[in-house]
Amino acid sequence: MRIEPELGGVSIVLVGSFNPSIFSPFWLAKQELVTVQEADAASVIVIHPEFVQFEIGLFIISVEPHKFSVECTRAPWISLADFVSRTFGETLVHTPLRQFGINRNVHFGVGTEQARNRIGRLLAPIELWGDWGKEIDTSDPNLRGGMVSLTMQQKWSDTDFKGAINTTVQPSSRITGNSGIYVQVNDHVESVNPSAVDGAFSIVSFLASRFEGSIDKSEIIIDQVMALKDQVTK
Amino acid sequence: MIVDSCLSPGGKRPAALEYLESIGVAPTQVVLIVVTHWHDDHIRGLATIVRECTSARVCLSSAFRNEEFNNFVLAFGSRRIKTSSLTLGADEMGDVLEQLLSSGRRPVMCLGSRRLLNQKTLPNGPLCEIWSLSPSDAQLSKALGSIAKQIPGLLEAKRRAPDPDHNDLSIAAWVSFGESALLLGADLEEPGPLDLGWSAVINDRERPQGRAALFKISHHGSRNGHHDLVWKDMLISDAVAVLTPYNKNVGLPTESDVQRITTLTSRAFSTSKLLPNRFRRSRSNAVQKTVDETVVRITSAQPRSGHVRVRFRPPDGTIEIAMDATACRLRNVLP
Amino acid sequence: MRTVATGSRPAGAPVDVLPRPAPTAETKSKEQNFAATTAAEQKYELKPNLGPSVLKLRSPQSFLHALQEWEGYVTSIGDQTFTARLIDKTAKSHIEEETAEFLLDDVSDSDRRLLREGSIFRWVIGYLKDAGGSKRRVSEIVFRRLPAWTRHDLLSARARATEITKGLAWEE
Repeated sequence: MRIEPELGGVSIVLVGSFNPSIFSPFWLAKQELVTVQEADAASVIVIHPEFVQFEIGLFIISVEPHKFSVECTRAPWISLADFVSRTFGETLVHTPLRQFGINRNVHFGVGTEQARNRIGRLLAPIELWGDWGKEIDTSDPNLRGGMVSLTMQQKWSDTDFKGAINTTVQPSSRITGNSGIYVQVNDHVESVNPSAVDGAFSIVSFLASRFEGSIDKSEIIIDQVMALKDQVTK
Repeated sequence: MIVDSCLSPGGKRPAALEYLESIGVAPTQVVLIVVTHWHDDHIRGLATIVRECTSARVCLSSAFRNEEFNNFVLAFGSRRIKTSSLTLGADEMGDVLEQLLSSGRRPVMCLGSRRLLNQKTLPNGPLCEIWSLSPSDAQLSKALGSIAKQIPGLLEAKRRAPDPDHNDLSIAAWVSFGESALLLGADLEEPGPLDLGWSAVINDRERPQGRAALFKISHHGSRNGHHDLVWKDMLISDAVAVLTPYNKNVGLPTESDVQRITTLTSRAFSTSKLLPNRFRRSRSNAVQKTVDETVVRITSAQPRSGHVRVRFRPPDGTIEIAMDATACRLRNVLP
Repeated sequence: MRTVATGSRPAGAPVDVLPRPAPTAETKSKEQNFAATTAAEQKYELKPNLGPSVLKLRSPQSFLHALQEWEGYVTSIGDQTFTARLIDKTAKSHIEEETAEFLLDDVSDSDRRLLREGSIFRWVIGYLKDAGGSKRRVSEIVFRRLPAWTRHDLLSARARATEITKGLAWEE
């Protein structure tokens, strides 16, 4: 990526059937999915029969009855795929999983608020919005009207799985000076025949084989958005 | 004939096929492929060679008749890590076995002295014979015993099969055509006992007799790969000798190896110099600084790829030697 | 297909800690009215109550952006160092192009038990930004906790080995 991100990370989200109450740092350590030291140092955020969230090692794990996610803000991202492969490819291999998403997100700066605004105008030209567009364009700059979120989607399908790559671009709320952009790429995959899903092995194997390619592609897409800075600042 | 495989610089195509194509030899003209290693590091591109050389007979150590050995190869093969560029160490060999099975090709077994080929190279040309010289029965048993201990256990974390320090299944080969002969030493070593290594070859009464004019020196010229009687009984005086250097943990050949070999022949060559070259990929200052601060040393893992070409000219087998820019005389191999 | 299913929460979106209670008839009616006017937004908005995190309750995160990443495997282990062959992941290489020797002391205590010949790791060089905003250049060696050889792996290898051993017809 041509601009070094200020913040960012990767998450893996699984959709299926989970029992949040079994997930705890010490359960993970007992299954040798994390070390005992990591379990001891874990920070529990929420424990509830229908929602569990804790920080353990470099991960944040969240579990609901139909969603499991693990996220990380420190490279190497492959650790996430290894963790999911072991948890659902071995320990909880009978968990019915229907979908997964590999998400890469970054916040990066473009230097000035003007540059960010110009990028927003490139992605969502204000002229197309007629009189209302003119109103937005001429209103108080401090109100910051214009594009607040844009998502592009590419769908695909093959024999066993289908999916979509969804890229969302928004102004960043984490970078000061109103000069940051947030991009998230969601690589969403689901079984073509969800009723035939029997456990997690097949979908987790596919996730494992797809993971690094997905991250690489996400970063190419993010870099494409970053390239807009060159267009607006030359 | 092709022995093992490596990829050409750039890493796309097997070097052997690229070379043959450069001299107008089609893959379908290859008659024999000899596989002396099972580890990916030594046979990269071999599956491509087996696939494209459709007329070639494939020679394998008799270890591949052993189910336990094949179990080991397939446990460390078959793309069992999905999230890594690395293989577990035996993907290439696993692919070769699958190809042989699916195509119905019949491999040729190598165990001790066995004639692998006996045919005229050209209609009025000399008769060509190719023999395997190893592994011996005792060597095979030793290798199978060692492999059995390395089969991974249930719930053991996946790791790469270590490149074996000793290639107990190495296949040395003898090639003769007319009055000329060459000895391909592969990685055969000399551990000492008379039924192992070079001693087993020298003492094998079934092996082809004669003296070779060209010796591809075994095991990168190391002391472990040396046997005085090979030079005394199997090679002509002042035979042409070629080796490939090795730069892993310890560089081979060492200075004493070079001295030993150059005493035995004045016509010794290496496919490249043994230089601890720093890898030349351009990286940012921040990265390079951190690399320098972190590692004890970092070098290129890719040997500089060179070749030594030895041709026997008819009718009397006069030897012509040509080196590319990377190859050198053995006396110049060390920095 | 809904992007909401597997995407993460958007930047800065407030989120609820617990899942929303089941809608009553009254709330359903209000939501349907809401949905009618914001159909486009609803299609793409990531529902905050299904978000995976609670921003305000999480401890501040550090961030490591990799400038350079290698995958390596251990080839030998000495008294104070270990040697490994490396593939440059940043350059999208597929072959091991470099050999490096590292200090054993640079391996974290928790990763030491993973260190053996053949073990696979990632070496990352990058900038670590902590929650306070400070930034420093770091080098980290992280051993991979790879899936273990499963019963499926071992049985499938053995079954295929049996098939290949029996199926290969050798020249006599």
